[in-house]
Amino acid sequence: MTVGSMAESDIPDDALLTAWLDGELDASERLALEARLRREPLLAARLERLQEGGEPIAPALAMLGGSAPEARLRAMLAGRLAAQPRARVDAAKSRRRWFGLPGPVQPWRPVAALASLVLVALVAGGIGYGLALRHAEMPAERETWLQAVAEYWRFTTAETLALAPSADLAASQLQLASTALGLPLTPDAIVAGDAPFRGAQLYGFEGKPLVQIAYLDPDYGPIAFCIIRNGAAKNSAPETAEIEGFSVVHWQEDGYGRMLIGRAPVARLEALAGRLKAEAGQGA
Amino acid sequence: MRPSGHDDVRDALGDHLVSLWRFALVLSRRRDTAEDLVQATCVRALERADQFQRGTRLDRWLFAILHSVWLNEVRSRRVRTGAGTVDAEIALVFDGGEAAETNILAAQVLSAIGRLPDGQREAVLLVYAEGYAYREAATLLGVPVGTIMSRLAAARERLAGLKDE
Repeated sequence: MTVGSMAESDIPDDALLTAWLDGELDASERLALEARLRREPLLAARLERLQEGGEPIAPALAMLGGSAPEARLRAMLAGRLAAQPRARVDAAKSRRRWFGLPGPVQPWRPVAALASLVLVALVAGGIGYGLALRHAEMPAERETWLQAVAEYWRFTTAETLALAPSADLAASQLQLASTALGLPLTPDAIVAGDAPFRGAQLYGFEGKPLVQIAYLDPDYGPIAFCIIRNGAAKNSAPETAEIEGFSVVHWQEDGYGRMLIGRAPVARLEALAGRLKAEAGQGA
Repeated sequence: MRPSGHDDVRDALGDHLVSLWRFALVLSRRRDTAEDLVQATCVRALERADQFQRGTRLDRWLFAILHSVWLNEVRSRRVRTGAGTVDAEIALVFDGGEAAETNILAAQVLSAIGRLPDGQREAVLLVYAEGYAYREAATLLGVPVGTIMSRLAAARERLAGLKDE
């Protein structure tokens, strides 16, 4: 039996009735209780009351699940997956990071409507690290935004982009990016063929808004389409380059610099550039 | 080659975030704590992914981790820092004023669930929302099966009393 080794007489009637309602009594217990229910109207009334009390529980809890901050949770998980690659992780170190914190300091606190805070923090941390390195190595050389993107794009793997943002999150990200850049970026305009969209993040580079739109190419892995409002007066047609081992296609148009970066062949990026040049955020 | 379900955990963890969050919210009755708790559970699950046995239920494994994190770390931290006071009246209610009229009963029920003692809330969530058998719930919570029964009976009685109020 399910109810365990308690003798039936030891079980309070309410508990027994509840177990009957939940289908947790075995056959002999059930028959015995049902015989009592036929004889004892008060017991039958108790059954009815407990049944009524239980009825609204599951629907209410189902609705509670519907109010979960799903986008934030997914962004958090994406960040954790990126931070803990498939290889072994140092368990003790990882745990200490989250729970060795004293007092009420929280490891992670959602503060903004835009959900991918953890991802932003990770990648932004990557930018900071990359910039710090670069400045230390080459203090005299002026950082270009192409190099800065290449530095932090190194931190992006297919696993970073494993989770697709929900439609709501994607729309919020694009809205934020559009507002910051002053360019219309719609879901349709940023479609990159068969490489699925994996989110748009807003950064700043030397005080200029920089948006990175990520794709996960089924053949070549992560590809980013980046747009910076740099105000450069001179337009330039798409050029190819190799930066930090990445293929890059970049061009300048109407005060915006644009680039595609990834480990895909240059021809693949050029084809994407042709499409995005025609569609994404033009004519602002 | 990895001997266990390491990749299963990584690949399927995302499927359980909402139910983990709901369990965390019912345990902690605080939305901020619930999110932290889910995050800590994900961290721990990824650390221990090699221990997950392929063919067993990932959701049950994750729930056990979350419950253990809650017992061992979050709750003790909240007790230490004196941050354990909870407004149970509102903690489980929907956000904002968006609840449609049809949701009013659900909101009242959630509010009443929020006022139940810890043990009753846990049992109710596991058995009535997650479909745990009594024995499974008893194992997870570390109590006898009879305790699960009496907690559920008390919760049902309390919720039936909503109509009397």
